[in-house]
Amino acid sequence: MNTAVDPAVGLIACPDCDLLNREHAIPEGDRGCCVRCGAVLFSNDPRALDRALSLTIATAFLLFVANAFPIMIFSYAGRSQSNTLLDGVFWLAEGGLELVALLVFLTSIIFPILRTGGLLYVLLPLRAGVSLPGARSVFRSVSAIEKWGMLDVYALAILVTVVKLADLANATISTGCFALVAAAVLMIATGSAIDRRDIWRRLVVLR
Amino acid sequence: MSTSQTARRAGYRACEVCELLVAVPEPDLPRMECPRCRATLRLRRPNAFSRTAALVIAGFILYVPANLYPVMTIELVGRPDPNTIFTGVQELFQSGMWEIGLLVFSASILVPLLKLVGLSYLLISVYRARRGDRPGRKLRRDRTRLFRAIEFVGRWSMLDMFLLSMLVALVRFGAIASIEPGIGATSFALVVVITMFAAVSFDPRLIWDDLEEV
Repeated sequence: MNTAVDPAVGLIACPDCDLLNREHAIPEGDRGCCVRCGAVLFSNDPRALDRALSLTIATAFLLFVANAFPIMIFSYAGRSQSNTLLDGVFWLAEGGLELVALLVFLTSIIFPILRTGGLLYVLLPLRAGVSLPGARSVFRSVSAIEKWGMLDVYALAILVTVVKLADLANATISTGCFALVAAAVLMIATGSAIDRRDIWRRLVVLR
Repeated sequence: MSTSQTARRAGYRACEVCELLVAVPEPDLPRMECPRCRATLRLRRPNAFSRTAALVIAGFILYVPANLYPVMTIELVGRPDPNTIFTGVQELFQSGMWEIGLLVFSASILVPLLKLVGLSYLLISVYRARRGDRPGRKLRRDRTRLFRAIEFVGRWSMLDMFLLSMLVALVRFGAIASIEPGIGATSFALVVVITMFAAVSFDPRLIWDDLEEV
């Protein structure tokens, strides 16, 4: 182990340009940036954990609704067809677009659920002052899949569909859609609320 | 407040996951694990230059069929109508929905192209800097910013794939007779994935590295 006396305490290497910056006291709500390239390096928000946790809990509920209820209802010539997130995936695969189906499945269903579940597993115990087994691997994986969850892009696609189809068929957004849009917004908010440095510090203390 | 040294010069490796600085006992140690999060500690992303270059070239190649071949063929009662991404955008403009058309055009055509061109530019400038054509700090800063933008904007290209996943519902329901899967859609999906991996494999620290090799 190389954790003996660490002369690097208080130093941060900029992930974008590798310059060593010294972490210094900043006013609450402020952010510290790299002096050479301007990347954001650290922040000071004592309530970051609370905010990230409450946003994650809300996201979990919304994700459930977004997956269980129809996103859209198309109606045409007296018939109607509802469409959940998973339906689209199945129909794409049936139509011979397996690769696209897989991609849509992962980015709109699997990654958002894994990310939210993983965050709950790490943040909830952390708030109570404990850490569950494997919390560090889970948090590491959560950071890795973050940009592959694309519910926000999906929300935009719904908007385009509704406008585009206005003359061809009557497309109405439904319960699942409201939940999906809200989940997408909250997931973006969670991303900017999380203070990674703070969480890693806590995870080490609780080892 | 800062030091004027890089982590590499000072003998540290910074963990890319949890940002812990770890002192490196010997500079050429191949594999090290982060004592805090157990991610592999690397001085730079492995083979960043050649990996990114390979993926960018693959992306450029696939970008051609992604735009030339139909993403889907919509068959409205016996009248097949092959749709490329571009004709889809055209249709939106023609029916007066230019805002939505502009949106789809940016996400599906402009963003992947700008990503590929942007990464090529970064690769070329890193190559030239190594050859002794050193840029000033301001230019390096702008290039780092360009990279952050490329990283951020890439996911929005998935828009067209999600559109497709909703349009297939219309087949079920009879408003459209059939949607034929095209080579276009698969190529396009690959362009999105490949350009995202290209951005991940590039290491922005390459933009600055030659500063200390004097």
